[in-house]
Amino acid sequence: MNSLGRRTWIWVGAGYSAFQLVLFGAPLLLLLRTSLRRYELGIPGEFGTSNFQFILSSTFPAALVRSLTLGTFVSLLTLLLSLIAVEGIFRLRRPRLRIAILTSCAVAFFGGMIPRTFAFEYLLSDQGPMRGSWQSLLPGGSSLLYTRAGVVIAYLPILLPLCIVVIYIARAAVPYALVEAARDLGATGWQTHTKVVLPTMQPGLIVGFLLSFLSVVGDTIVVDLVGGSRIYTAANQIFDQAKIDDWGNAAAEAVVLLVCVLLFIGVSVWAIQRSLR
Amino acid sequence: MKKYIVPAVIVIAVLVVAAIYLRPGKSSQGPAKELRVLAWVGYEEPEIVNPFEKEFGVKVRTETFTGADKMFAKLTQAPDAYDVVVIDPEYIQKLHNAGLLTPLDESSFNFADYIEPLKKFPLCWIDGKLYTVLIRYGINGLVYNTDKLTAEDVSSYSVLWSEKVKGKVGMWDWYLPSMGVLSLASGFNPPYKLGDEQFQTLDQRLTSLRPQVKAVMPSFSDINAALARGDIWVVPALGEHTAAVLAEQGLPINWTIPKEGGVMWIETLGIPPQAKNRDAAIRYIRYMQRPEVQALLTWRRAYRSNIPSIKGIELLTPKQKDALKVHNAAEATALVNSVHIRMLPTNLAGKTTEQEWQTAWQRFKAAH
Repeated sequence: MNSLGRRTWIWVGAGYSAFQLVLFGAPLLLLLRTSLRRYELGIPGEFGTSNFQFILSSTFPAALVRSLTLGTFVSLLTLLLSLIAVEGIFRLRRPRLRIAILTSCAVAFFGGMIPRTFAFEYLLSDQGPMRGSWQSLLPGGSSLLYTRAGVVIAYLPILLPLCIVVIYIARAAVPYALVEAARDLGATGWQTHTKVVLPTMQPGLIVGFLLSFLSVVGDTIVVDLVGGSRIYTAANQIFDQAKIDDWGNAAAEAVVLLVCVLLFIGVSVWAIQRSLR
Repeated sequence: MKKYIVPAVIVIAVLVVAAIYLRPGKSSQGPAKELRVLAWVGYEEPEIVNPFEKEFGVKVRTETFTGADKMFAKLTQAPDAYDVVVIDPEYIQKLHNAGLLTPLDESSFNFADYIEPLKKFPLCWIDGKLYTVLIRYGINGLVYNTDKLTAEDVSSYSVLWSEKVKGKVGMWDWYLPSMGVLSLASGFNPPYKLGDEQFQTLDQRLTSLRPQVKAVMPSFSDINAALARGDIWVVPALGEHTAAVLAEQGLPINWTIPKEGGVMWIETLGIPPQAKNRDAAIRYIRYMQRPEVQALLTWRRAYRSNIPSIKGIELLTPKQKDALKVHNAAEATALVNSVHIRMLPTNLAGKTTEQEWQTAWQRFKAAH
C-alpha cells in the first residue's frame, strides 16, 4: 500500500469502479429498461409494468421457487461431500498426493461443464455402463436419466472440484495451534471439528455454498440435457420467453431472478463479515 | 519514479494485448470480397461454401445458429452485420415488420425448376413483392422406433396417448412445431388458426400428454441420442431431418405423416436492408437454387431435408430418395400438398396468439 502511495490507490480504485459501472451497471440498466417495455412479435412497444404483472400470473413464481430449492439442495449436498473429501485429503500424510488431488480437482473444474454433462447423460441412461448400479438404487428399476435425482447427481461432478478447492483453502487456514489447544483442553475429535474447525472455516463454507448455488440457479444445461425438462427452472423460463422474442417478459423474469440472487449474495456477505468479527 | 514502473508495464501489456485481440479482422478490410451469411447449421459445410468461393472469388463467412429466435436476436441487434440470412417461415413476417428485409427481383432467381406448389410460396411474398427465396423444406410428423411400434400404431397421433408408449414419448422443446402437430391431432385444420375454445381443447390435450412424456429435449442431437439409446420410442413434430440420420446408422428409426396430417418447415434466404454486399448475396441465393447445390443441401451433416428443385431431386441417390420418401417431382408435390405450413399462431380474427401458445407450452413443461 505504502510503496505506491494513497493517491495512486485512489485512482486505481476509481478506475476499477468506473470499469465495473460500465461492465455491470450499463447492462443492468438496459435489462431494467427492457423489463419495463412490452414486446410483440419481437417489436418493442409501450413502457409499463405489465411484464411484471404477467410473470406473476405465469409459471414463473413456481419456477423461481424450484430454482432456489434445487440450488439450495444441490449446494448443501456439494458442501457436505466437499467437507468429507477435504477432511480425507487433509489427513493424507504425503503432501505431493494432496497437491496431486487438488490439481486434479482444478483440472476437472476447468474441463468444462458441457462435456461432463454429456458424459453423465450417457452414464445415467439405460444403455450406460452403470445402468445396473442405478437401477438397483431405484425402486422402479428405471434409469436415472430424465429424473430429478439424475439432475442432482449430474451437478455433483461439476460443482465438487471447485467446492473442494475452496473448502481445502479454508481448512488449511485453520490455525493448528487452535486445534491443538482444543484437544489439550479435553475436546473430542467431533467437538474439535464442530466447535473449533468448522466455525473457523465459516467464510470458506459460505463462499463454497454460494459458488455452487449461483452455478445451479443460472444453469439450463444440466436440467435440460440430464433432466429432460423434468425440473422447469426460472432460467429455463427466461430462455423460453426469449425463444418467442418476448424480450420484455424475459427481462422482467431476469430482473426478479437477479434480485433474488443479489439478496442471497448480500446475506452471505453479511454472514461472512459476521463470522470474521 | 520506480514505483510507477510495474503498474505502467501492466497497463501497457493490457493495451498491447487488447490491441492485438480486438483488431479488426481481415474480413472487414474488403467488404466487396466477403459475404456474411447468418444461417442454420449445415450452410457452413465446405462442400457448400468452397465451390461458391472459388467460382465467384468471394470469401463466405457463415455464422450459424440453431433456433430461429437466435437468428432474430442477432439480426435485430446487428442489422448491418449480415448480407444473407436463412429465415424460417414464421420469421419472414416478423423481419418484414421490423424493417429487416428488402424486396427481391423475382426475375433474378430460377423458380422454373421448382415443384409446382413451391414455385410461388405464399409466405415468401408480402403485398405482392418477393422478400425471400425458398431453398429447402422438411416435414414435422412423427418419428418412431420400428422395433417397438408398427406402421399401424403410428398411423395416428393417438399413439402418443396409448399405454404402449407411456413414459417413452420424447418431445422437442419448441412449442410451434410440437403444438402444431398436436393441434392437427385434435382435429383442427388449419392447425395454427384457432378460436378460444379450440385453443383450450389443444391446451387440455397437451396437458393430458405430460404423463406419457419421458423428456422434453432442447436439440436434435439430444433427441437423436435418446432415440438411438431407446430411452424414447416416439417423438411428434420431427421428420426426415432426424429419422434419416439415425436410419443411416442402421438404427430402427423411421418417420411418417399420420392420417391427421403434418406440418412443413421451410428455410428461405433473404437480404437485410443494410447488407454491404447485395450483389454477392443475390449470386449466393441463385447458387443455392442450382440443382447440384440443392442435392448437396438435402444431405448435410447437421440434418437432412427435402428440396424444391426437380432436377435436384433427380441427382439424389436411391438411398437418399428412400430416406426422404421422395423419388420424383410427383411424390414431392404430393408430400407438400399433404401437409400444412408452419406459421405463427393466430386467433380466428388473425391476431397473434404466440404468447398464449408459449405460456401453454411452459405450463406443459412445468407440469409433472
